[in-house]
Amino acid sequence: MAGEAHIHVALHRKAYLSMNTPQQAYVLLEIMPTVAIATPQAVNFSLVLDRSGSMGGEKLQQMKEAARLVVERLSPADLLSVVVFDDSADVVVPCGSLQDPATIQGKIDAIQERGGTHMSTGMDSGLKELLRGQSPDRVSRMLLLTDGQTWEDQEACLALADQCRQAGISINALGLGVGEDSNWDPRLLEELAVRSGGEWVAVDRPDKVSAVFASTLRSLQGTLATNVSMTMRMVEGVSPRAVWRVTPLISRLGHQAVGSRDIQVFLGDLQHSSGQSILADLLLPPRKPGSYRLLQADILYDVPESGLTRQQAVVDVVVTFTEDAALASQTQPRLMNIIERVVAHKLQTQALDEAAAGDIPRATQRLRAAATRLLELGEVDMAEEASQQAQRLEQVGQVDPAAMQRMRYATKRLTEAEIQDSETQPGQSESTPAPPEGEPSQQDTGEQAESA
Amino acid sequence: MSEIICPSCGMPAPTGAIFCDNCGFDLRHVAPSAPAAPSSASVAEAAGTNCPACGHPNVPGAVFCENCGEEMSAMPASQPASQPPLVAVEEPAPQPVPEPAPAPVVEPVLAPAAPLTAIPGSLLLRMTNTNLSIPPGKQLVVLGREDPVSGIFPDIDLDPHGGLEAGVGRQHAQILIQDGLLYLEDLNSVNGTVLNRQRLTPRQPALLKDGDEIRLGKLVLAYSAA
Repeated sequence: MAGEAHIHVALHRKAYLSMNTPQQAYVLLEIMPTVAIATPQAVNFSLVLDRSGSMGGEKLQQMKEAARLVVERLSPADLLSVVVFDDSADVVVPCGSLQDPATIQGKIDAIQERGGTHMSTGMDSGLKELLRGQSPDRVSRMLLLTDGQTWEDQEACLALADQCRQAGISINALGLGVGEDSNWDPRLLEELAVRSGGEWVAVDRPDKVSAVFASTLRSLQGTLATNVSMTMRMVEGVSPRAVWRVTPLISRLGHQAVGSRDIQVFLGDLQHSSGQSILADLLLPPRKPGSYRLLQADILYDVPESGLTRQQAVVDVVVTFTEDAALASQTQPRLMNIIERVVAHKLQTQALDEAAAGDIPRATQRLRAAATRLLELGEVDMAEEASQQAQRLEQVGQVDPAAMQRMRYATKRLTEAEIQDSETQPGQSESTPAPPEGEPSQQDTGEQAESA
Repeated sequence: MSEIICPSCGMPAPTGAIFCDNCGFDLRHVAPSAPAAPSSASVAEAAGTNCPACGHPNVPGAVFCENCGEEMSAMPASQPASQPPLVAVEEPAPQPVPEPAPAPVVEPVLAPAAPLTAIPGSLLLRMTNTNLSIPPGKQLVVLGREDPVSGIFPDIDLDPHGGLEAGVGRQHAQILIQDGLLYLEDLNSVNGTVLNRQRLTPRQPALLKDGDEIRLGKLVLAYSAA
């Protein structure tokens, strides 16, 4: 059965001013599940866990606790594998069903810390286990946990993330702890997640590991569709500036050109509970007044529950151009709110990148700008941390590493309140003032919901 | 079988087409083979949209500044018919700017001061922290590398400051006054001129302000109006 999801379109203005130069426009594409979840989705889950020396003590203890919890929560239809890595990797539990949970938990208990961190060996073993358990009716996922900087194998890790993506396996990457003893690189985890269509999480305290493992498993069991990719087919003159995932968490997505006018973004898996929202930042070409279908977006996805592959949903993005400057000046409050959050995330992330690259004056200035945005959004704690770090940057020339890890993740969550809003009132929060007289057919164009 | 001619771009489309494949125009109300009836209205001109807080030039229609994140005026700046003389003309804000941020992080753009008659200030070389003063009383200064053989003597010679290695041309860019405002213009340089991380179109002057970062090839300078 097709129709598991439809795409809802919203633009940031009801109408765009007819100008002779290109102009910016934001399009929000909300991929919404249309079917409710019946039973938990069967999973093929691999835990790829860091047991390097620095994990010793509470971190290792809590990690083992969390892994045992996963064993408890899986059903007989599920497959689990557990891989640990230091300088090399060991398959503690090979891919298989949970015939004997007690034995598996015993093996997890026996994990001890040792050696350094060579993450690619762990990822490689984890991927091999996942490939053995792959089937169309199971959702495969790698949960990667590390507390340290991997040793000279970042390229290998990224290549493995690409392999995961090709196999339809997304990676949830967890950075455990923050600061000196937990010097994992947020940018590497972010890149692994983006490439594989997954997500990354900063777990600042070891006692939160169980909760993160549990929520990862819950989202996995609530998977509606896998291998989701979106193609945006644009008319001549429309050019994409950036594509963001805005819910469940904010991420900048890499987009690939396919053909001369089309771009594609990979979205990984789609959850029943949240769907995904994608924000495209576009440059629109000059147009005379009228309405134009400037792009068409479609998603392709597989449905593990029914075993159907390459299902499709399509939507048209119709843009109205007008000469009425007053009409064109109206923005859509709901979109503006989302854009403002993305802007705050982008500014802070850019500032941290600039700080890491040694461009201190620019990073300081931008971090202060981020603080202002965050304050305006009412995110007092994040704003406070951003201004503290801006000051530190100015004085010491670098951001505190622990703050860097926390901050990169924190602003990804800026749209979390938005999800709840749109769940209770999908698309209802926008005001639709009546068009002024003499403006033909302005209705329907700010918001469109057509799916095939 | 008749076909529809898209009134917007003139491309033919099959009868029944809803949108033009070429430009996306909504064809539902276009009669088959009706004479193209493009709207007689002229298309509005757009001016560059400079951020009211940091002055960064944004693309028209931007709602948040690309550089500092400031919320910009809700309306794309539009200018009536006459061709704007320069790409980034700064207009006095036509609309009240949305309430300023509680703690403005960057200096707000100053109210238009008296028209300039000579280029003020100096350039700071980022790499070496060397200050290069702009010769006083000038309406135009050329930045480049001195080359006595070709008879090229720029007002500001960057040759002693690593200009050659950094890819600075002999006549790379110029600062000029036009209508009382200060501009930076790339002189068709090989390695390009970048103003506040925006590459300039050759021979298109862009507004220059206090504190702006100028990059000639790889050489980074900061302009100070004081």
